[in-house]
Amino acid sequence: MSGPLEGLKIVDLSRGAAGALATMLLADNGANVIKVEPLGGDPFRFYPPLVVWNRGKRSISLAIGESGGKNILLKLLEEADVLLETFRPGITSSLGIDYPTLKIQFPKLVYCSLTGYGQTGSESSRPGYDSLVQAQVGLQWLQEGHRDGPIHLGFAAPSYSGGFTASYGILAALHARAKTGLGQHVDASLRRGAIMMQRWGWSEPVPEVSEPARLGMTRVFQCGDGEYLWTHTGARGSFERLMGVLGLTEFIGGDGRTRMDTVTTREVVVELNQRAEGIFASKTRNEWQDLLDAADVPNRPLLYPGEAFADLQVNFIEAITTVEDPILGPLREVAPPYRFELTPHQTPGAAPLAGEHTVQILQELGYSSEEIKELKRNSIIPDDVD
Amino acid sequence: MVFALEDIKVVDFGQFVAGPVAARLMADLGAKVIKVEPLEGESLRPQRNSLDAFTKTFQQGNAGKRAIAIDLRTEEGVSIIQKLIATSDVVSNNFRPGVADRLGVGYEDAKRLNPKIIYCSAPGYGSIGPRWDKPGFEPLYSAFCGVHRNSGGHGNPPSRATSFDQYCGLMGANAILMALYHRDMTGLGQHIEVAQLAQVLYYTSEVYFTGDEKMPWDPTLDPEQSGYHALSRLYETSDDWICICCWSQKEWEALTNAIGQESLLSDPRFSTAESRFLNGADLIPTLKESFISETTLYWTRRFEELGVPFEVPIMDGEDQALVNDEHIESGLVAEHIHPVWGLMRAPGFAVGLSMTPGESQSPPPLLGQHTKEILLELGYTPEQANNLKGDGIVTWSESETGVQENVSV
Repeated sequence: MSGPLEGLKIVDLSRGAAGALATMLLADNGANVIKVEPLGGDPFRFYPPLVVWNRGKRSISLAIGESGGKNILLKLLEEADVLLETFRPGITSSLGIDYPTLKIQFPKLVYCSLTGYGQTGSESSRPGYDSLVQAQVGLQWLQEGHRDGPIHLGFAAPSYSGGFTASYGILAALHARAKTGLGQHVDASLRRGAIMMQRWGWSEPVPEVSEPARLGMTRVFQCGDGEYLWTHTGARGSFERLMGVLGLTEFIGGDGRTRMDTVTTREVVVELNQRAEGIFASKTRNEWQDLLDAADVPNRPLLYPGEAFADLQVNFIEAITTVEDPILGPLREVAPPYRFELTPHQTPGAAPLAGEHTVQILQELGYSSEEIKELKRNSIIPDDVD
Repeated sequence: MVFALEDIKVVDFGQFVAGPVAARLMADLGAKVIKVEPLEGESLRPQRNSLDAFTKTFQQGNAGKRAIAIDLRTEEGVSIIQKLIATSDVVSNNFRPGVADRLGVGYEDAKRLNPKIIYCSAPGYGSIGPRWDKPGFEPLYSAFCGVHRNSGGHGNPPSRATSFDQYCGLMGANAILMALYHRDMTGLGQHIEVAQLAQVLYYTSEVYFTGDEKMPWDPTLDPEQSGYHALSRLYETSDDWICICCWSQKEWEALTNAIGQESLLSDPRFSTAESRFLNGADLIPTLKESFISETTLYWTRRFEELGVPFEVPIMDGEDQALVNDEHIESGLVAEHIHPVWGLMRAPGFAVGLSMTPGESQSPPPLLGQHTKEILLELGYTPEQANNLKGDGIVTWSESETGVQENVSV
């Protein structure tokens, strides 16, 4: 077995980040993903992360706007369980590959549209780039930063949440299909994913509540060597243990079993934080890590991107893998994320070049070399693939 | 079939956020989720009759579930939950490794009771390695995986990013659904480990290294925290801000036209999407100078007219998202009646499904709200249920609202 989704066939018409993320998660877990790219390749191929996000997929370059190309796409769909597309609403209709049309021929197909703002509503035709969705949803004014004004997110929240809510919707539809024999349309969007995941605590009405001051040390400290360390005191007793390490036991109140919501006064909170900051500045981060680990106080260093790749725990659980890329050489990447007991994943294959598997896939569909030559002559597929 | 997972029963031992959210995302699809809690409630359950950040988090992580409150340190408590597992499809927990086994509700127990069970464990750091037994919490993982550095921008102190707890919940739901796909195909259940450290790392998958230890993509923001690239970035205008994103040739041409810099079109540094991507830093001074010279309204009109992709960052995202009938209709926002707070609107279903739309949500359950009805479903008589309560094995609330009122704020 190569993952729980072995045997699942996905035709991926997506461009850019969010769609690639959705099918990366599915391919990492055994799905057979064919990426259908335009003749010049996915226009976002210049974006370096796609080398990771397209891993384990195969690629066919195809002019789906031409009837010859569309016919090949339809043949691919005869074998497929899932189609994913990220065109702006309306484009698939003009190509004749919208859900209502394809549903007639392929009633079992799970058809997922992943766009900026969904298939319906007044904003559905707005461009769905990650940065723009952040702005439109209101995430940038909520992001903390070092200057006034809206701040760009340091995490592609709309793309990741859009991508993984799309895969979630696809998988749910596949279960419904197992029961009914029927496919359906999955309408996923970057906005919807971002609101669900990033701003899920939003609610109306918002009653006026004055937050009481609480005892707790879930925060970041700058240590004596300038490095940053996060501490967390949500676990029962960890606040008391941290106070013990810091020599601040006079802040332990009540019954000595502080929960993460123990209420106190603002003055106490300010004093506690100021004193703790001074104490953290007296030792290096490594020294504090050792002390806090020994006292069982949850803590983790705040690292630069990529630093976690060298961490012992990360490597112990094999959260990093090496993908052999025929051109770029061995690449160390984040590994598939789950450990399935019966269906462990394999090491992902390399990301395909644009159209790398065009001929192979056409041959699987039964096209003869003569027909493939003809397709090249008619610019349905690139003429430089073999 | 009305809901995609209407035939699926989930036993949810989730606490705090990541575990509960995975099961809540199943409930949204119609799964019958039972939240199992100790007699005093799980750690995040609000102890106060107030609506602060804590209780909102609890609300959103547990909508659509039923709840049983039970003492798993008693033999009888365990046997009740084992009966529940025997008739369920999925067990989900985010205990530390070993805790579920010790309680008698671990994978081996579940498999013995129910060979087709799908059992999802979401420990913090995994079940092996030097940190296997450490309790895991956000934002420790995201700080560790680099996200706070990314957010701070080059040369700056870090900035805090979002909590990744609910993102871990989404990964848990995906994993469970994959196991369900496999079970639909083969009839076999299995165990899944969804270590939260690995999930947060997966959300930073744009970071990778070549053989010579180079990192081809650094996701750290620019020093102004305005973006990663000149052509996908926030710019200050004479009175506000604007966010643009112009990757394609057509969008690039529209942008140069809008700012009156058509001469850039013949500059070889910017002749293709790829070269613009590589040479973006050279564009920033020109673009900053252009944008600051006019108002946001000016740019809005100009961009609409010329087809430049843009958005004006909004400040009232919460109101715009929730007080919007389109979002109610699409299911992005769900309404429910909370016993204490009345009519609530909150983010609803993560995706639209044409044939099996999201389940209409009930509010998060009160502590032990469904204890008695679940016991009756398992075949206990009302008298036995009352005795179990009298013996302190289970509990349920008799009050109208169920909110514990004896805890002072």
